[in-house]
Amino acid sequence: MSMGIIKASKLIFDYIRRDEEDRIEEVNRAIDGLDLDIREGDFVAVLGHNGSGKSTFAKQINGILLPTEGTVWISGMKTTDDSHIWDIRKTAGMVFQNPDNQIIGNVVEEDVGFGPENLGVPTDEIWRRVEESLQAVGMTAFRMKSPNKLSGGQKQRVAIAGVMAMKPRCIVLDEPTAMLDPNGRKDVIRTIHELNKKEGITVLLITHYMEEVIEADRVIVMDDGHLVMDGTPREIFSRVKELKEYRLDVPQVTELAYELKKEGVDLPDGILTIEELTEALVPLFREQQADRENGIPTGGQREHVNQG
Amino acid sequence: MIRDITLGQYYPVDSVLHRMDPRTKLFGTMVFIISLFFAGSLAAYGVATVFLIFVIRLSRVPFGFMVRGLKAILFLLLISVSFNLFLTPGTEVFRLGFLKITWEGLRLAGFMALRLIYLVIGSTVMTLTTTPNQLTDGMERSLGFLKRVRVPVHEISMMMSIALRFIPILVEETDKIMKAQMARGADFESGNLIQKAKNMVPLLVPLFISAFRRATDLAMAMEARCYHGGDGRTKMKPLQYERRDYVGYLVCAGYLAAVVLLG
Repeated sequence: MSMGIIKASKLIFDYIRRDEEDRIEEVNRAIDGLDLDIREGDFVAVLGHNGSGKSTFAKQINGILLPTEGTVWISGMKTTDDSHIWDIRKTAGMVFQNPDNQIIGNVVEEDVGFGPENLGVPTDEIWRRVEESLQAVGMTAFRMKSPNKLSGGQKQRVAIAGVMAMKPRCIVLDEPTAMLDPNGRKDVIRTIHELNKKEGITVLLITHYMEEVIEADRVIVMDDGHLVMDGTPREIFSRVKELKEYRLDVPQVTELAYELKKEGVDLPDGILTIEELTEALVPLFREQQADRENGIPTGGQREHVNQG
Repeated sequence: MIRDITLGQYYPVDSVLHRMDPRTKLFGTMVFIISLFFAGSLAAYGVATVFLIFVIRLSRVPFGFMVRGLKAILFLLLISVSFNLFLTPGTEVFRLGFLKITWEGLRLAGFMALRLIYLVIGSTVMTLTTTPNQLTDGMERSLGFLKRVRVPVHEISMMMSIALRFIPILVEETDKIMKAQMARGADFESGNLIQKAKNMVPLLVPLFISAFRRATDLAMAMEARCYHGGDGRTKMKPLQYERRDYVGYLVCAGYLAAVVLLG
């Protein structure tokens, strides 16, 4: 079967609020007909404004929430199939937003061992996995520490190690950096990228920080429960106007390039890094300087830019 | 104030006491608590003091950490000491109006104070040297026989372990909410007891809401990590008695015998 590690077909999910007599009071459609296929080994970023359904989708992946209609398969297993639920949760590990509310152990290494313990892994093997996982996220030096003594970024890396110890093939991270400072955010994102490259783990990163998306293999944009954009970061970020309609910001550099281009500067679409922008701007600047030295008057549009 | 509760705060150093099996330590703590209720003479309290100092030295945890927990029971301590002091009949030593202090009262109050202080320090030693997970593991194993009468031993121990983990987090949160409410003009200090209790409402409501939210999150995180109760679960750190544990049991038994004999 040519099916990716995560596949959703015609997925619909309703949050249903009931009153005391169990009558339906309010139905809130969080996901509305989502079709998606994610290839094993990819680093996929899911973008979306608050209430776009991206977190709800994350919870569908390991069966915390089950579809109202449609189907989700995790490496071929249906999430609605009760007999596979633990296999699914083992295959697709999950890291949540709040670092404090997902650490169970009172010592770092005990927390990392929590998952394998639940899976019934033999003691020796648990220790080996804890060792490897802490190594993989660079937290070995903190193994005997209390989680309360760690910074937010470190706690989040412990949480990632806890998932890694279950030997998942895929990790879903639901806004893992939303509560972190810039340094912690960088550490966590670097860790995830390393796991993706070195261990070949499929990553599904749900975020609303555009900077974290640039190095992804694929970017998916969700809005109001629908999948509205899907492509490489460069493809997505060259559609600045569209992104703004979905109330998403683009990276600062992309925004600058977009505004410059609007003013008539000859730049390529979808600039993602400062380096790229410099590379594109320097020749233009040289050209202009040369023109000026040769006494050729510059174009009106360019002058306009110089003033701005 | 509540920041001073050290219960559930593991102090990570390497000592014989830290490496000891939690079941041994649980037994030891229980023996120590029981012994305090048997002790009724200076000699017995002397033995208890020596034993406690010995254990504290063995734990290699700074003494300051042990005493911190005492602040929390200061109020209780004051009440019980003054009741004993003023209400015990016997030979009068001192009288001020209707208040009188007797020799017997002094003696009882002194013992009561020691008993309470030792009780807190004794159990603090255990929680400082045992990670809550080990502690609950120890309880789960020691109380395993209750499973046969359908007591959910594993679930209870898991709940306790989680409660212990969240104490420092919730304490910190209380502090934060308190400061936030104080910045908006809330007053937690003045007024009488009833007034003070009433003033706690704007502190407790947000705290409870946040605690429930955390509980939901944690339950989800645990399920995501395949937690499904105690069945089929293996242990990263299975409990195993070593030589030091047998020695520990012997020392505890010897200590209890000494206290009981001395009365």
